[in-house]
Amino acid sequence: MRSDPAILGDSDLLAWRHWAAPLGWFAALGVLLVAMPHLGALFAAIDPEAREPIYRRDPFIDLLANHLLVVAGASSIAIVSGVSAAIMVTRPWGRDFLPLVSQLASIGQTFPPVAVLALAVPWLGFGGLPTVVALVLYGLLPIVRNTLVGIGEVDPSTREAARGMGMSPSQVLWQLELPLAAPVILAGIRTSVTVGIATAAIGSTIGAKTLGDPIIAGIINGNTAYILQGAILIGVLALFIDSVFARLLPSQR
Amino acid sequence: MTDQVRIALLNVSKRFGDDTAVDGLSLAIAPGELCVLVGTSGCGKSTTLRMINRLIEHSDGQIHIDGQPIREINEQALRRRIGYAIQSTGLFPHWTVARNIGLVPRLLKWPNERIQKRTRELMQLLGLKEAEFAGKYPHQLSGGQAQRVGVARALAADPDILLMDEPFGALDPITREALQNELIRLQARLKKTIVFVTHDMEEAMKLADRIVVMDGGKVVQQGSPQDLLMAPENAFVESLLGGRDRGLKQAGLIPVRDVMHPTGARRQTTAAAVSADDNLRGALSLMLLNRLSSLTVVDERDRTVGTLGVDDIMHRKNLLPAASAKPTNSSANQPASKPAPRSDDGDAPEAKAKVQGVSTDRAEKMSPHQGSEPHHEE
Repeated sequence: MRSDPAILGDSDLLAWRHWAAPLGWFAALGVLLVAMPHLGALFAAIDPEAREPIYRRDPFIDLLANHLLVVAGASSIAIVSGVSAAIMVTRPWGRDFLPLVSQLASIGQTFPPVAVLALAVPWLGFGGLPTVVALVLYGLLPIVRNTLVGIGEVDPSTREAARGMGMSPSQVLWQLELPLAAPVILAGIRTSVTVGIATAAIGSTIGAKTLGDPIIAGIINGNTAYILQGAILIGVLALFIDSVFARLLPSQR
Repeated sequence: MTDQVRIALLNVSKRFGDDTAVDGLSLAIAPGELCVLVGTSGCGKSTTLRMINRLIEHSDGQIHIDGQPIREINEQALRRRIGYAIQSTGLFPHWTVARNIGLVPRLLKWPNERIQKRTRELMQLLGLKEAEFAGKYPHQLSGGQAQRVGVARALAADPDILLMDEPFGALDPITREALQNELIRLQARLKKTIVFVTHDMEEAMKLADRIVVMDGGKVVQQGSPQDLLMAPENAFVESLLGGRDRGLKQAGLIPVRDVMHPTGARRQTTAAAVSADDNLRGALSLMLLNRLSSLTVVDERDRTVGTLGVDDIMHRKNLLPAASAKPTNSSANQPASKPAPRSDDGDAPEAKAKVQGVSTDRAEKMSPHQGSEPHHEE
């Protein structure tokens, strides 16, 4: 099987040097997790007034794991529902729902996640669940929009030829439309996941354990060191995930 | 009936909302025939083509393939046994040339070795070097190469029927001519039943066993290229035929071989030479170019085989081609053609019969229909 240049670039996906950036960010994250608790002197220098320079209520590794879990859950739901909704409304039988779906996705993103949290708590209680709901709604738009664009960009005459050759509708979808739309869909997922990593921090306001915990605690206690620790970890995590996606996407030609 | 007619359209209509794209069209295409649908854009020729493989469902009438109504055949199964080539090629951009060609065999679940063997065969047949092209992607091909791949893909599962929708329309004139010649060569060998759509009458003349001129969703005239040139049904057909270039076009259908005097007959050899396989149009052009009134005729190995003088061309009886020139064609065994002009909707049945009777008699067709009114004698 030949590798497909439209999706993977002309290079071998597994060549280690192409993974230098993701590996670098991953290493940075590991080093930070291990080193952070021992940098008390440094953070004390940054914020001399803090009573306790390092956030110790939960180990950073636990916060990171839970943060990732919330984002992974929300992104999986957003990807599956967003991509399938976009596929549905580009089928001949679902075309009537196209405006509805794209409008719902837009509303999802214009609605601030904080407001969604506030509205969701009475229904779903405190913790991870309302955070996931807010992230799903917030992350749907880029996925739906990019899937619609990706499928829409497939040359109609190619689709026509595919039908004319005797491909069934599902063969046209799986062998023509999705492979050609894949880079655009992947770009949408990248945006959605990266934004989701940053946004998940607000879950800490309603009791979800995330890397937002030190930030919220820092705000409440006026402890700049806590805020910095949470922010640095979230930032490096987002850069790591983003570099993985950058690797999966084809280089710009 | 079924072994005489491969594709039959019986009184077929297609309406899109209130618009009628194809209006009561009847057509019977014999096995091995290359039938060209010609007309201006919007005349329903593409729609007709696409109704044959059910990319468009007909609204009325019946379409049969090998005697079976196409609505009784599963649409995917039907399309897999009909080759389909279009102007924009429609090659899959993310697949290699070899994989594109093997598309239909793969859909038909042929074993891999058979697909590979067939792909190799087809690349050879269409003059695509396997080592050079098999691994290329469509965006790395020129227009002509891409269209060769498109035709190879259409032929992949060895279908009896080939539908071609302006396949050469987007190519430059030189590439187009090369591919037209290629198609003639392929057709002589493969004897497929081909329905070919074009708006280019020159192309139709060159390729067709039978030309079907369409306008406003109806057949205006059908017949061999010679039939049309001899007696265009009305002003519309005449304008498609190129107006006053008709004489030259007619000459373009007659091989030099049929008119020349074989060597040793009466004239001296001349400076310029024309191939025996060329046509009278080419010969006339050579005469004008070299200011000669006669030419030497040579065969493919450049041996003198005869002479051709301008008198021979002029005195050729009626400029009629030899009856054997287009063996598959004869208007006599075709179903009722609809020679009515556009304006004349309610033509009486006897009028139809009368025009048809005339159209089978070529000798009589020379004089009457020169004007724009085909029915003036009624």
